[in-house]
Amino acid sequence: MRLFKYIAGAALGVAVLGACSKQLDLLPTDSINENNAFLTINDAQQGANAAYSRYNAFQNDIFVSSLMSDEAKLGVDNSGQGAIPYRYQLSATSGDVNGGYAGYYGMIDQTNRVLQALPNVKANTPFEETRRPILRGQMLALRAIGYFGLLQSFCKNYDPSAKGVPIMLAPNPAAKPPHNTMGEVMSRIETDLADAFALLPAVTVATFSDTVMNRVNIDAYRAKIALYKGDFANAITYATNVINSAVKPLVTGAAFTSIWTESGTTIPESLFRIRNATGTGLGGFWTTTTGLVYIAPSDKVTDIYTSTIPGTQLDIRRGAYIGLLSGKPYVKKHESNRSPNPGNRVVDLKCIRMAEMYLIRAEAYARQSTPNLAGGTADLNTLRSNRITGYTNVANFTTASALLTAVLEERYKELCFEGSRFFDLKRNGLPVNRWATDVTAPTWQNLPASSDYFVMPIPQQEILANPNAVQNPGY
Amino acid sequence: LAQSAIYLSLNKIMRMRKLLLTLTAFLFFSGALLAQKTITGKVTDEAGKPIADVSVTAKGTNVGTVTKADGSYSLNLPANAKQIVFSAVEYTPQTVNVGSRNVYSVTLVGAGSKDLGDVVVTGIKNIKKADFSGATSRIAPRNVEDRPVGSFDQLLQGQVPGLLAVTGSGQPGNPTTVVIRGTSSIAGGSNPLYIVDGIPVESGVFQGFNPNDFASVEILKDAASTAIYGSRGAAGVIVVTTKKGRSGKVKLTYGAQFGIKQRPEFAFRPMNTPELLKAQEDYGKIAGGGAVMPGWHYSTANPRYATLTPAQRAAEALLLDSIRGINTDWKDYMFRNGPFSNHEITLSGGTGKTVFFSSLALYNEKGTTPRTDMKRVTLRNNIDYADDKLNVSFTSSLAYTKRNFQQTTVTNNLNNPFLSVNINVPYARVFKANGVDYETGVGSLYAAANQLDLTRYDENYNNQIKGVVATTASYKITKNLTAAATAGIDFRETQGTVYGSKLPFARSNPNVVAPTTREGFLTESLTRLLIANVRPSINYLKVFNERHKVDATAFGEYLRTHDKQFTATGYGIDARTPGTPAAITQGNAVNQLFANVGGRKTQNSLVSAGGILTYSYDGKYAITGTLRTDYSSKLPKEGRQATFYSVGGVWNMHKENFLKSSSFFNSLRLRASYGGAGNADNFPTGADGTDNFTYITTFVGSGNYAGIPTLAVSNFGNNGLKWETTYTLNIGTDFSLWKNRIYGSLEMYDRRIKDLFVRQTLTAPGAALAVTNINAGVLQNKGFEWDISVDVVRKRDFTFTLKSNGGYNWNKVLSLGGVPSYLVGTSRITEGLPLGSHDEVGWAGVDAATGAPLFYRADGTITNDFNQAPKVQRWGTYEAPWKGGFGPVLRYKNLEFSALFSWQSGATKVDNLEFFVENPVGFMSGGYNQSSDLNFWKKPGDVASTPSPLFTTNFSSKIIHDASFIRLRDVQLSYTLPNSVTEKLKFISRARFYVTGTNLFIWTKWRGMDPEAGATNINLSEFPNPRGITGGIDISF
Repeated sequence: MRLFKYIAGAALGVAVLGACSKQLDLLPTDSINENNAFLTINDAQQGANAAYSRYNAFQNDIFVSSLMSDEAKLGVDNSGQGAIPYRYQLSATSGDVNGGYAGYYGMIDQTNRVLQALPNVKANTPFEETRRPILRGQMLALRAIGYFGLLQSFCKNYDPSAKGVPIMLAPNPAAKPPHNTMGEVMSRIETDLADAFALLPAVTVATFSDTVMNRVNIDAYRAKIALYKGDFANAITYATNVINSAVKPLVTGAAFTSIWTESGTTIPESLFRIRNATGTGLGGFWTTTTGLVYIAPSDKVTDIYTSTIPGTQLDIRRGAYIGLLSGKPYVKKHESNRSPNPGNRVVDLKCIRMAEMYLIRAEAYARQSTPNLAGGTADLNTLRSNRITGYTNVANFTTASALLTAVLEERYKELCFEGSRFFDLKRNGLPVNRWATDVTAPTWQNLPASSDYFVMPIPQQEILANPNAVQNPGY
Repeated sequence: LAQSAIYLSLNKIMRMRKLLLTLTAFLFFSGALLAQKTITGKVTDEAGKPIADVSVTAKGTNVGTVTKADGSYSLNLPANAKQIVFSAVEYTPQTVNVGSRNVYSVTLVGAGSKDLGDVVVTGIKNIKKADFSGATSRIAPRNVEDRPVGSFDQLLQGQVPGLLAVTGSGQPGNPTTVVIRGTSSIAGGSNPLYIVDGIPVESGVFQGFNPNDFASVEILKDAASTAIYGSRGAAGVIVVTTKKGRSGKVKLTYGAQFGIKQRPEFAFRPMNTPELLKAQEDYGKIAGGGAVMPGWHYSTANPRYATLTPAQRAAEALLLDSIRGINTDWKDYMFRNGPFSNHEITLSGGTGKTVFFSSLALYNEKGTTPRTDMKRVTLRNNIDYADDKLNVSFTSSLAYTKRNFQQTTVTNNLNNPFLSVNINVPYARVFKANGVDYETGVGSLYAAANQLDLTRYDENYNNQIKGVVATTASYKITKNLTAAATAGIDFRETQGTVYGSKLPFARSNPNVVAPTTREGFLTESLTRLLIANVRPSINYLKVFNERHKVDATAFGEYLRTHDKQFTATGYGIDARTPGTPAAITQGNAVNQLFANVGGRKTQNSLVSAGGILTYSYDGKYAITGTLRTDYSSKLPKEGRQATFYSVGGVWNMHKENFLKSSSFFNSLRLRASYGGAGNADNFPTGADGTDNFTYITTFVGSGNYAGIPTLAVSNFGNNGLKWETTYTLNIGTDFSLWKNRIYGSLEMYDRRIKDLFVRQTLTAPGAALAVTNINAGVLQNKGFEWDISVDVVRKRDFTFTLKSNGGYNWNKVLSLGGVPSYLVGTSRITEGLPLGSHDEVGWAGVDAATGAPLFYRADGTITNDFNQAPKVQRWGTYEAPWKGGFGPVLRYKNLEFSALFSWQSGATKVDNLEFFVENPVGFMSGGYNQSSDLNFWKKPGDVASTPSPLFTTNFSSKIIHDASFIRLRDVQLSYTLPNSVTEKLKFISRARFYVTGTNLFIWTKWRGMDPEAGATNINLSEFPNPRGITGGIDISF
């Protein structure tokens, strides 16, 4: 039958159409896609730049620390900014304190994309070829400190078998991963940092840069992470490495003030920072350019610089950290005075500083099984003599606990509003005790050491999107 | 395959050319053929009304003529003629055997829904209605002709059951939002597929079509009718067929239309000067206020009055008096009457095998606000050739349109005249003392004059060239087998210019305006869109044993769309050479006037194959099956292929013996169909601003990290994306009762859209909580429709028909596939509720004791704390479930009158304008005007609709209102010169005069300018649809 001949012809047509995939395999011409995003070392470098910029997730740790600890209070102009976590009424949807969850994973995803691309990208010159292992090292290091940020906020104090966070080692937008243990995450962090250290070249005072990951700031993070983990020997070793590297030594006087005003060409003491050219996310968190104070320094922190230091001594930190805005105390630390628009709250995010190395080593000396009271006291004296005009060294502490108490108070003074205080208290199993004048109701004056609120909630969106996600207790 | 199809059709065109040559040669001799006899007669419709322009041809020959205005004709019949064919648009052709008589008068049956012998134009294939199981509606040309509307889709309102047409702007030539049988996608769109002369054309761009060229507009609604469009039919299909010439004497017609467009009346009336000054004083007494409220500032009740010296008091009293003396009605400046005109010449005719239709039209409409208009030239040339074996149809249209716009008409911006007119104070002067320059300045007092100042100097227009060319050729290979191919191109090029002059005051303030803007700017954009389409097909048609009819068609389709856009903005325009790219100043390090250049380039393709098989038995029963496979470039390889099918059945009950003898049922048909269709033209928009590559994960390389470039993912795609499919069950009936006096159709349907695109948040470890589209969720649209006409009077000289159509559609999200409820604009997508359900805080009125605003808590109790009141979804949906149209058609002798009322009911909409004009704290205190309806709380015990000036106004259900309306959409009175007159006028064979009113009245509770204007969910002071009165004349020579 002729009809069937035509039907057969039509069927053949269908088959041909199916094969016409060339006409159908269209790709966008206007946007870069997964097939052509990373072609050269330069592309990988741009990917790495994006990964660095995403480490601004760390500013969430600063917010968490301020809103949850005793270093800040709600300012007189506050109309709800950060008030819910400050009042310990936080929930999985409140957002203010758990932005880091998506923030750090966004950075981790970016490092994974660069790491995945690196072996295949084209190097046009021998010099470019040398960039390949360097970029790999930088990305591994960034990924590691991203995971550390997650552990610090979203997990309990370090316990290898406790619930950690999911480990992602390759991009997978559709992933719905279950969490790993803290031990697994820690082991990944340590491996990545060790691999990164091996891949990166040695650093001298002249070649050190605080805007990229390098051997010195990797050691700085290793020291911080070892202390977090309770591995005091390593904390001492790595902190000593950083101190001995002599890059970014402790400074005093105007040089110290310039860390915060950013008036110099470099930022003293800074071991790693995220640059910021336009955003006011960090600077505007505390105050506005129009003079409103949202988050103010607590009365407790304002007082601490004078309470323990006799009258003639002057702690330069108080003036550098806390200012007066139309008679209102405010957090000056992230205000910035860089030209051409001084005070516009566009400020770099200082992630880790040399001062913290002394404090890490001192704390490790105090907490290690055989405390090194002389070493710890010496570190404290070194730091204080840079901060306090007319300081005279104190005699060696006589007990480890006295040393530890002094170190923690020094950390409070040195590192307030830098994302440290809340995690210092958490790490040492201490409660938050605010002053009565810093709160409007006694219900949010204290946070017992046992409180679930020392662990931030996993964002509700994650719980809804990921059936394998488990919410932290108490939310 | 596509290439071979083009080759095939080219080959045919070549062959056709030869035929045409032969034909032309033949024509010269045809006059020499001897006529056997002259026949005469008259053609009338069922009501006895004469039909003009009916083609009367001797079958198998090329001899023919057309009827005159009185329906009469005279034809010299060749000796070999056996049959005469009478055919006319909108009527079923009729064939009469030639006998010994010399007079052959016939009655043609109209092709409206009244007629069951009609064909359905599906755009791919014409199917006899008796065999067609789908749900379709047709709009007759007389309902779209000679209407003063620049975009034909605006004419759909109230004419098609189940079709919601809402025109969001009165800008001349603006398209309409058309939704057929309910919104069919959440993340994607619901635009119907538009087919013109067999080829798909871009939706939403109709300013380049002349509706007077349309022979029919067919709306396909269910699976049986849309499944042939497979992946693109889910949102319904609108099939336009343009006019063809008719065999016979070449006919020249001229039509002209003149009229005027006016702003509509609406309920909000801005306060005049005395009212506003009084309101300002009342406000100030409670909440104080500054000099920006002179009614309070200079009031003797103001505490500052006590501090003034007597001389100051006297001076201020004088000042207040002079303010009182100004009472500007900004409507006089922001609105105008827009003249309208349209001229059209058509030429049509042809001989037996070749016919042509040409039209040239000039459309000119000025909008009801200054600087808005549309001018259009359209040229259409349609040529058809048909012989025993070959059928070729060539249609082409070319249009050039220029439209001028205001700076903005859709935003809450003071440059928008439709916001400006409502909130600017009446005590501001329009002109400076010189009477020419606008009284511009800084501050709310000058806002309206600043708007007019911008309108004077700036330009915003676009020029569009649109060409639509389609060729269909079919060839009868054997008696039963026909091969055909359609190829076509829809091409559009839009060139847009936005010129910001440096002269207006608003650009001269160096403290406010960026240097680039201050120096004047010019943005030139060019958009080019090309849709190319090829569709080969083969058809087998055979009747076995006189009763069993088999009609089978197989077809393939290839569709490719190219879209390119280029935009450039330059600065530093010398005001002496306004609006030209030549005036752009080149940027350099000193002037910093660097130009911006950008654009886009994108494309998509679709490859399909399908078949339609219809079997009918004895004209009583027919079943149809459709199968179509589509491959789309818009989906990832794994999910790009989909097969859509439909099945349908028809039972022509009136052919059964038990109804044959019924005097009540003249005809009765039952239809049922079920099947699926996709939504390929309405995918969710991706990172490039089109729906072409939504599934692809894209990167952005133009970001920066403190000045150094970055490269990162900008949009997470989904490699698992697949088709969103609509399954429709439709049951319908067509009927004609009681001597064909009551006729129409009824439909019931249930549409389920499965694998619905929804916005899914990805996990943090996977994609940092970014959002992507996934296929989850089910949406339902179910409803019923009616289309009923009643011939109340059916006399020879007087007919009176009442028409009514309408539909009810209930939309409901059945499932979101586990994705939590989420916000879209002012509404929230929630399982169990219709799309477009407003999500807002409940308004509980004003506390009479304190003047505080009151809101509903979750438990239904009342609170004055806005923060304690949750947003809820109790305020209805913005998509009207009920809509329709009705109206009479009357004819007395040569006088005809028709009216169309369109209506929608059950929709609620947010009235953003109310938020401005009944908001003393937010606006009056800032120096803006309010509605004369403003009734704010002044003292304890007041029953007020607006809170005391001590309380700010929040968005709440207070401003969500019923957007139902009935509109007198269209009314037309026409008079055709009687034959006795035209016969005396030798040159004129037919003359018709008419008057048309558009949007003359509206009945609505909506207080804003137009319940239709604006986005479907919220009214942001958009350009209201104008009303128009036009008069016209049509003359045939």
